[in-house]
Amino acid sequence: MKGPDADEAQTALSVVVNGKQLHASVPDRLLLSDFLRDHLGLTALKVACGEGACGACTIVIDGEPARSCTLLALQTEGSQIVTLEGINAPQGLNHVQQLFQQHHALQCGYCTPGWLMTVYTMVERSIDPNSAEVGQYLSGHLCRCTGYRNIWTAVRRALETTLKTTKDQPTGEKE
Amino acid sequence: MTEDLPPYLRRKRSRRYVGEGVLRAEDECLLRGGGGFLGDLPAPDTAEICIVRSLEPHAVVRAIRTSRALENPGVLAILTADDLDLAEDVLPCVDMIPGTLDVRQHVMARDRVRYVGQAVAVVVAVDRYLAEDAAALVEIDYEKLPPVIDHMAAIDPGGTLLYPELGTNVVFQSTQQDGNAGFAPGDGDLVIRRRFEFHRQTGVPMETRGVMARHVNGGARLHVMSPTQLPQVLRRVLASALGMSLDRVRVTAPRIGGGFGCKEMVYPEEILVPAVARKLQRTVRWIEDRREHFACSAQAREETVDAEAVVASDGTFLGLRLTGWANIGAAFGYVPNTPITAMAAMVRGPYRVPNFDARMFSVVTNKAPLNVLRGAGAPQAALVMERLLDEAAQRLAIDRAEIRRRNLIQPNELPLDRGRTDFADAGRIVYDEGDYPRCLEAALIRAEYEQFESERREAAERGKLRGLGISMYVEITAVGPFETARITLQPDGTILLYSSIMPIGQGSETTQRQLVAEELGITMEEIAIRQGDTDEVPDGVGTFASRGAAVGGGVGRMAARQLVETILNDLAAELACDRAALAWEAGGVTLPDGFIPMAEIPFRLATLRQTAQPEKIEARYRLEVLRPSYSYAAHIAVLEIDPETGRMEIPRYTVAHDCGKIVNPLLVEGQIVGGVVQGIGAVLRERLVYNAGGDLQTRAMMDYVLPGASDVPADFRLWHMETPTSLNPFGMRGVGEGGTIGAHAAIANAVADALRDYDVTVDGSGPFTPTWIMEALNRPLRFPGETTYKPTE
Amino acid sequence: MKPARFRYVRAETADHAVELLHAAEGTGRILAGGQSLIPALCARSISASLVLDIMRCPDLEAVSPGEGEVTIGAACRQSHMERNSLVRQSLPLLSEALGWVAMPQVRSRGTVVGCLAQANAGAEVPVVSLALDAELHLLLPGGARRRMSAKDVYAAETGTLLPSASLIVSTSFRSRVAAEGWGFSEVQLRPGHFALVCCATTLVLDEDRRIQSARIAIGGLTANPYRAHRAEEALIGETLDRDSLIHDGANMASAERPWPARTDLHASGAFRSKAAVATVTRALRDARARCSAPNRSNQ
Repeated sequence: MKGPDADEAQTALSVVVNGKQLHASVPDRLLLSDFLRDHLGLTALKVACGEGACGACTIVIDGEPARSCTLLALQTEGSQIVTLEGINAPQGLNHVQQLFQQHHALQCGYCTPGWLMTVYTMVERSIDPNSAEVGQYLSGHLCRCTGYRNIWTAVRRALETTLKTTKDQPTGEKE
Repeated sequence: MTEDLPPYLRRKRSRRYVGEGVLRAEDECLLRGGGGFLGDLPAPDTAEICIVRSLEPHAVVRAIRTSRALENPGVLAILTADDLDLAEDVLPCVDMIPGTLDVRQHVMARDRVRYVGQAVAVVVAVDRYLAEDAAALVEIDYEKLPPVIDHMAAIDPGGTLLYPELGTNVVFQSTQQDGNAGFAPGDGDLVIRRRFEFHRQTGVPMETRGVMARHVNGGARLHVMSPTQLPQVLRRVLASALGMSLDRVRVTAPRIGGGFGCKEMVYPEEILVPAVARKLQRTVRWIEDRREHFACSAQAREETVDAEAVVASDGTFLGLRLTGWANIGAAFGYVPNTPITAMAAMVRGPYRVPNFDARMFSVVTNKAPLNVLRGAGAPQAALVMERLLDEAAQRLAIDRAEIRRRNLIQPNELPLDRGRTDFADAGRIVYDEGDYPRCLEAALIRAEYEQFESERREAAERGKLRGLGISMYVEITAVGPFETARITLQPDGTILLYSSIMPIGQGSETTQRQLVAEELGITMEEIAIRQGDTDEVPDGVGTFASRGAAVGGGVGRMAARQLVETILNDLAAELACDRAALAWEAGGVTLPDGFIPMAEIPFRLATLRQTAQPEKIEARYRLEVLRPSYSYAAHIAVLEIDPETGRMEIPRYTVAHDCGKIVNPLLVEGQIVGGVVQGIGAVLRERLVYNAGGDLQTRAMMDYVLPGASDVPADFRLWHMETPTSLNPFGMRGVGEGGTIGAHAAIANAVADALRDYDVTVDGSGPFTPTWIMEALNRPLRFPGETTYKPTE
Repeated sequence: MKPARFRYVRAETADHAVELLHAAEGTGRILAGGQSLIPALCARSISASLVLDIMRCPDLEAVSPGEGEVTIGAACRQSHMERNSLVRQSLPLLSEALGWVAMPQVRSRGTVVGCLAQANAGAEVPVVSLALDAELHLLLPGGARRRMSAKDVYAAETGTLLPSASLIVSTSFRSRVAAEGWGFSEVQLRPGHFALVCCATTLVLDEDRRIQSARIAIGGLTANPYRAHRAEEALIGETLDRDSLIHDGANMASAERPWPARTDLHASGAFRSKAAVATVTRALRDARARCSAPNRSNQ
């Protein structure tokens, strides 16, 4: 949003985005998706439905995947937000992104950033690739191009790799 | 001789790209969240537009009052139709054959609105929030008129007319015939008469539409950005609409987040947003929100078809007669009459059906305008034919696969002229090479058709109803009339290809680069591709009808071939040697006394010419497409119904297809799977709903239920055949839409098969929701007391 | 789809929130997770002059065990409650039902109590609240406190009968007793979409393995959920060895709906009535399986 006028209520916001502490004054009604995209220039997340149904705007807040289009920016006061820009490698593709490319798990690419944030969370949580939980997480995203088959493959490979890696390490606490 | 070449050249020479599952280079920026979609483009000092849209389906506009809205903070202007200063305000429709009544859409409503969502006023403000605030305060006085929603009611002579001056709601008529069009029911042993109903759908690409327009060069030129499948068309239309010469208008299409036909149109917003930019002398932008999208982006597929099939006792179809009416909404889209002419053109598919008579009509109603959607009428066409085949099989007690075999056109009958058509500028439908019977057998074997009855029994023991559905189709692809490409060998020794094909997700950039790399014998990394900018590619037809690889890729490859000729000619001239002494091999030029790799050619030429800097070498090519080519496939869907909950699963889906020479199998499979899942969504749940009063009830993603990750068949079997087509220099046909075409019919047949014991008629695209299934299961048994079908007559 | 203007206030305490809500005279809205509120504001289908964020109020985040009950505070997120060990142990029905709410990416923000306040048709948490005899703890203007049973909250065909300008500070759910079985079943168009119909049920058997108490709550069939009291009573004293008993109970439960079966874009009332029978049947079967091994801990 630009040019606030006297009638547009604003409130202070303190939030950590991709590891950086930010302080801003934002309009009360500003959606988180617009704050991230328009104010911070983090345009990886996409707005595709505006109602929380499709997942294209998914980011990670305090370790959990969440919709940015159904939140006010001010609701994230004191939180840690991670967007795709925050988990990209300095150059090139990270492991999950490589798997998506190898398995042709994207076509137009518009929904892809949202999927990657959910998959990032699944990998962090070491979700079992053969569990029913996988379908639960994937049910939070719509894709109109791929028909999902290659996305399932890429996601399972990503989780299998994690499983393999964590098997060699002592298991941590799970909550 | 390869043995004499250094290793790096030998490697280049042996590298083949065509037929390889090359990974997409464009994925890198997409996966990192880039991609450059319209909404991501920098928009400094850009005003935002919110369009005030009609809430009435049919009304006279008596007054528009904007004074309250204008007082709202941040509002820069509010405009209506008269404020746009348009020289021409009619949007193009390219399938109006002689005799078509002109119901082309106007950019904005003036005195009358004809669909909910039609643009009535434009609010321009400093941001979208403020624009929406003001839009809510615009007051419009409507004098309601009776809404016309049902196309079959709209053809009633006594009813309400959308365009009273035309005297009718039937605005388009087309006839297609073949053989003896006057064939009689008595010519055969069985007559089947059915009315098929196809419900209204919409494409729902993940990216909504949008337009941004700015003045450049101190106002001398207008730069318009829109994710359109037709940038060159849009530019021409804009120049006419705004009364500007062509060279003053530049259209760039950013990367498109899904098209499916929804962005194969020139929309009102694509004219009004630039008009506003010109009027206000500032950069303006409109980003469609999803609610708008459901209301006013192109809708699709709604039609009613009456079919009469005359069949001999051995199952051969002697004749097919159709009458069809398409519900095209309130005004013409870009190609609104194409789905209904496609029905006539393609309904017979790969089946002979020698005698044919079809009369097709387009009917206007108070719904948003109709356009093509993946398959462009062919999904409906295949469904009609395939349902008739299954019904004939049932009534004549012939096996479903066998009845198809008896009707399939044999390879030695091809090419086969199917008659004159109004469809897609094809002129005549002439099927090119193919082997339909082989394709069917391949699908039947891979789908384990012979074992299906025991599968069905096993499912019944679990309390589930399992059904199998077959469909085959022939699809018109790679349409013309032509396509152009420009290719340059850059001063730095790399290749730059300028293409008319827009990337909409199909991987066109990779496919085209593969073809050029193969032609030139170089690596793909040496090739860059650009598209979507009318300054760079002024002529072009566009991205639709599965023509991207075959036509777009074909012309790119021919341009590369032309480039080689140009390079060899230039070198021969500079070296003062015989042109025949030079050859292009292994990614460079072989001379009598050496070899110049492509990367060094510009430098070498500069040296020879004693010019200071290397220069680029350019070639262009225009590929005339005399006739479209015809891909085909066989689909077999196995589905399972849970009678307690009405839920339907598709555990196994098989496709055997032929799109000619495959350039990238990874991308081809992606198109087929993606298309099939769209087809699954279409017949299982998707449905646009208007109530009797003309209000759109499906206005959001949770209303219009798209397929999700759980809907893809777990066991998806895909088999390719490659029968090259002589219509394309490289044997390629199109593949983008086939998955959706086959899926509608295969699933409809599978549903009918699952419910074969019930007195249920499957006569359209459903959708086959749990409610539909439950109602079907409440029907009486076909043979009370028996659960196994027995043939009659 | 941008919301109209409103003022956003972070309530410091629950009392603070209620006072502001009261002062706004019906134009204020409580914001917890916002997963229903924000989209509705964006669509401008509802309006608000004041949006009161309660997520930072102290002691609204507590999950407290009590006498035969567990109390969940208004700021407790669905995803946290899904994984919370006390909830899984003592309210396994709620924990399972939460896995059906929307999708993980929405549950990360939505709250359990927020679901109760929204009363969306077919919502899972209100159905569970009936099956677990939930009591909502309300704070009213002036500091008055009041308890309202879920039964009373959903007594009308649609919406809640919560007093205006009130805040639900927490909700108490009846804890699972030893050997109690529970079941939850839902029919949806596809995962991530709404419940067309759902059922939450609990069963307690006596020493003779006869049904001592039963709760059958059905959601989605009608706009608000309801308890199938007649079906429950018909089960008392019976053994559940015969499937026909379960099926009869399910039929009765669907038929005794106090309001007409709901028809909308996604399913007809007739479909929902029939699917409800299947849903109740499956939930009862699950409940039976879980109470047949009285000393086993819940899955």
